[in-house]
Amino acid sequence: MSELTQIQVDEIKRRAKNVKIKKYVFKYVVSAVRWLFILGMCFVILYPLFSQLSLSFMTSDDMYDATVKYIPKQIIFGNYQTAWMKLGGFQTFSNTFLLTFSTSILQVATATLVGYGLARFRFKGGKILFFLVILALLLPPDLLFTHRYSMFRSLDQINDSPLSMLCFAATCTGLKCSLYIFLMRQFFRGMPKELEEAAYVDGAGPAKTFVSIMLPGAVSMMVTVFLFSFVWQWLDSSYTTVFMREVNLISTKIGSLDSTVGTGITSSVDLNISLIKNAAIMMIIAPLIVLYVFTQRFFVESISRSGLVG
Amino acid sequence: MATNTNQLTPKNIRRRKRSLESKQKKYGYIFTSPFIVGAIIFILIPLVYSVIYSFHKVELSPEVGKGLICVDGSFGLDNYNEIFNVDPNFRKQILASLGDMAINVPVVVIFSFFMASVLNTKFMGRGFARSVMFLPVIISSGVIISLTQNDLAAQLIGAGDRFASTADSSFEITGAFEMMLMQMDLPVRLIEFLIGAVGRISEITTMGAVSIVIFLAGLQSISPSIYEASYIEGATKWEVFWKISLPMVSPLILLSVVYTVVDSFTSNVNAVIRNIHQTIIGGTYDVGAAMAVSYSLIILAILGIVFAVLSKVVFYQD
Repeated sequence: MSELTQIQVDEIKRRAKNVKIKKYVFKYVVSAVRWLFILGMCFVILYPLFSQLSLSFMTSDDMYDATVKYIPKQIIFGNYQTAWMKLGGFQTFSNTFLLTFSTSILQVATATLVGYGLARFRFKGGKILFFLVILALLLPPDLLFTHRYSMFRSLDQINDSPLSMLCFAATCTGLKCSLYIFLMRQFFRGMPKELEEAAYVDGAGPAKTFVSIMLPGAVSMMVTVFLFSFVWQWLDSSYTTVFMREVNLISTKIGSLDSTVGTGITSSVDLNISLIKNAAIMMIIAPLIVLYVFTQRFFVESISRSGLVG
Repeated sequence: MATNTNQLTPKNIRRRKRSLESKQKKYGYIFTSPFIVGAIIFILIPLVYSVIYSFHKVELSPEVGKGLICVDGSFGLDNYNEIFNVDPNFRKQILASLGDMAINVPVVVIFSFFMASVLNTKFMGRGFARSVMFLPVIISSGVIISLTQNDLAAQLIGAGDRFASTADSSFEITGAFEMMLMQMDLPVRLIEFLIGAVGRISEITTMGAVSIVIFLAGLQSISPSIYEASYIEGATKWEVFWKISLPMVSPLILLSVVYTVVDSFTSNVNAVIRNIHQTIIGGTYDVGAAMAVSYSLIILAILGIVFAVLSKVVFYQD
C-alpha cells in the first residue's frame, strides 16, 4: 500500500466533513418538517377549542365590531350565567356527575372482572361469550333499545329512574362496554403468566391471585377505561334520551339552549344563542379536560403496555 | 408408607388435572358472571325481541307499568315496506353513510398510522403532542357535536381569517390545491377525493384519535432487537418501514379498520343512527326496530367483506 500524500489526506477529510454536514442538514430538515407537521395538527385540534373559549366571553356587539378579533373588548360572564341557568344549574351537573361516576365505577369493575375471566380461564362457552362481546361492539345500540325500554317500563323504572343505566353498567352491557371488556382482556393476556403460576404454587386461589397480583398491575389500564367510560357517558345522549329523559342531565337539557330568552332582532338572538352555546361547551368539557390532564399519565403508560397485538 | 393420594401415579395426575380444569371452569364462570347475566338479559333477549317487533305492529301499552304490546298478532313485512318503500329518507341515508364510510375509512387509517409513526419517534414535546392527539375524543364527541354544528358565532369569528376552517378561508387554500391537482391532469374523482379529505381534516383527526392510540401501542410493542438486526444487515429506513414496521402492525390495521368502520356506522353523528334514534324516541317502536335490524345486517355484511379481504393481507408473527 502506498503512502497517502498530505493532499489526499486533506481530500478525504474534506469529503468526510461534507458527508457529516449533509447528514446534519438532513437530520434538521426532517425534524423541522416533523415539528411543522405536528404543530399543524395540534393547531387543527386546538383551534376550535380556542375560538370557543374566546367566543364564550363575547357579547353580540363584539361580534359586529371589526376591531375585535379573538380578545373581546370586555370579558363578560353573562353567557356562562345564561347557559348555567338554561342547563338547569347545579342540579343538572350534580345529577350528571352522580350518574356518570357511578356507571363508570361499575363499568370499570365489571369490565376488569369479565376481561380477566375471558383472558385467563378456559371454560365451556367462553368463546361464545367473547363472540357476544364483539357482536355487542359491532351492533348499533339502538337495536337493543326497544325491548330494553319495554322491560324497564314494565318494571316502572323508566324516564325518571337511573336503575336501567346502573343495570347496564353492572352487567357491562351499557354504552361501549364491550370495548372496555375487549381492552381489559387484551391487557390481561399481555401480562406474564408466570406471575399467576407462582402465586398458585404458593397456594393462593384464583380470587386471591386476581386481587393481590393482577389488579395492582392493571391499575393503568383501569384508569384508562375509567377515563373512556367517564368521558363518553358524560357526553352521551343516546342512552339518556331513551331511558332517563325526565331527569335533568346535560344531555337531556341541551335542547333548552336553543330556546330564546327575551326579545330582539332575530339575527342577534341567533347570535346570542350561539355565544351561549359556546359558553355551555366550555362548562361541559371543563371537568373532562381536568380529568384528562390528571389521568393522561396512566393513559400513555397503559398504551405502551396494552398488548393490543395478538 | 405414603398414602395413595400423594403419589404421582397416572391416575392421580389425571385427577389433579381434571380438578384444575374444573376449578378453571368454575372461576371462569364466576369472573364472567356479570356479563353472562347481561348478555342473556340485555343483549340476546332484546336482540330476539327486536327481530320479532320488526315483523309485527307494536305499541306502547297505555297503562303505566306495562311494556310494549303487540297490537296485531299477524306476522308481516309492513314495517320493512314502510322504511324501504314509503320513507323517502332511509334508503338515501344508508347510501350516504356507506359513501361516507368508503371515503373516510382509508383516509383515517392511513392518516392515523402516519401520525402514530411520527409520534413514535423521539422529539421535544412528544408527551404534549400525544395528549393533544387524543383530545378530539373529549372535545368533539356526543353532545358537543350537536352544539358545534352550524355555530353562527364560530363562522363569523373565523370569516376572513387566514387559518380558520370556515367555508370562506378554506376555499382559498383548497382552491389553490385544486388548481395544482387540475394542472397535474389527475382524474376528477381522485381530485374530489383529495379535496374532500383536506376539507375534512378536523373530522379525520377526530375519527382517527382511537386508531392513533391503537397504532402507537402496536409500534411500541415491536422489539427493538428486530430493528437493530436489520440495520446491522444494512437495511435502510425505507426498507425497515415496509419490511418490518408495516407487517408487524398489520393485525392492528385490521383492528383499526374494523373500529373505524364500526365507529362511522354507529356513532351518533351518523344520519341513519339519528333517524333510528328519533323514530324510537318518537314512539314508533316497530318501525324503529325494523330500521335497526336492517341497518345492523348491512353493517355486519360490510364488516364481513372487510374482514375477508383484509385477513388475507394480515401477517401474524406467531
